Amino acid sequence: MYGDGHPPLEPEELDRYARQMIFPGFGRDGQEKLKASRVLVAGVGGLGSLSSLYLCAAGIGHLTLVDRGRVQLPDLNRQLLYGEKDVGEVKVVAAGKKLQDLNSKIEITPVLREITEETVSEVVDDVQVVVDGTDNFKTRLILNKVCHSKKIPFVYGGIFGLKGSTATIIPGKTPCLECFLTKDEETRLPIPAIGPVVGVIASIQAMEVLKLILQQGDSLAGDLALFDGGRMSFMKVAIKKKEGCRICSV
Amino acid sequence: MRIHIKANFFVPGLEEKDSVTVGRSRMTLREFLEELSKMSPTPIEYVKPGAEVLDPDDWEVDINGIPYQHCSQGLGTLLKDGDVLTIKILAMGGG
Repeated sequence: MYGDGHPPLEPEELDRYARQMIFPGFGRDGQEKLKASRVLVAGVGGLGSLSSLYLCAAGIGHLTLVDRGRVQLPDLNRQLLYGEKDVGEVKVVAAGKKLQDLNSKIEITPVLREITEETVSEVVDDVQVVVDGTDNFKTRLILNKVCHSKKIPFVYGGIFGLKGSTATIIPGKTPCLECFLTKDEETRLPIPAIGPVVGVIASIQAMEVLKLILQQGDSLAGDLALFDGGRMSFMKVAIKKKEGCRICSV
Repeated sequence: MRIHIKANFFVPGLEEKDSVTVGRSRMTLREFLEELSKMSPTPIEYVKPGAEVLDPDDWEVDINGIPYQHCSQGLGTLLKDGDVLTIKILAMGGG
């Protein structure tokens, strides 16, 4: 440890991350912050498998992957962490192996568990940021609640067909997820999922995580960004705090 | 004509205001939403060009508490002074 108490970079890491370290917003200090950081990816399906790839490649020091599922053939159009040989395999195990192959210098903790009201507090612990890789609002709201109570930033992402949306929720600073969800937002199954759209949203989520850790640039904190791949348009609005929100108004 | 607006986001162009006064006494919902788009300093499209309905994946709109699709004229419903328009932007659920 040196400097700000961040772990020093090894010579191989200086070489490995050279292209992002030459960017002024990152630098050696930023890379050390990434190495010292701990991020939880909740769900390693479409969004989670792609955001975790970028976070792993960028040198996030510790990634926790949480999922209860196994790889299925229809996952492979967008869940690029997995291949045909992984079908039937536990997702967090297959994901952990693939990510460790990509970057052996980071720590990866696979957690085979469903995120529920009962398990969430134990699952979401000792991390700086939680990335939403889930596929339903019920789980997202559970994560939203625990992130608020533990004051952990939560980077929401969602897709439907050619569209996607993302927002960064910072407890105590921005409205929470529950503030802008409407009563009718129930997940319709099966959800149409187009790989590149998942990629766009997961990439934004990963970017948000890096910026939160590095405290660089404007983030989507307090905003909801919507991407429409059919019209190739982006739209961003500031979300309102819901009066009397049972999560963030107390 | 004054239309009151409730939304789950800050409607671009309205800042903190919760109502809009337009210089016409009659205006359809479609025309009003198109006006709101024009007021916005950043691109925001409520009604897609030529669309007969709002994209149900993007928006939920009520007129005085009634979903606009249940109003007899849909987007062609005439708004009147004092109407309350509720606009909700929707988040995507898949992952």
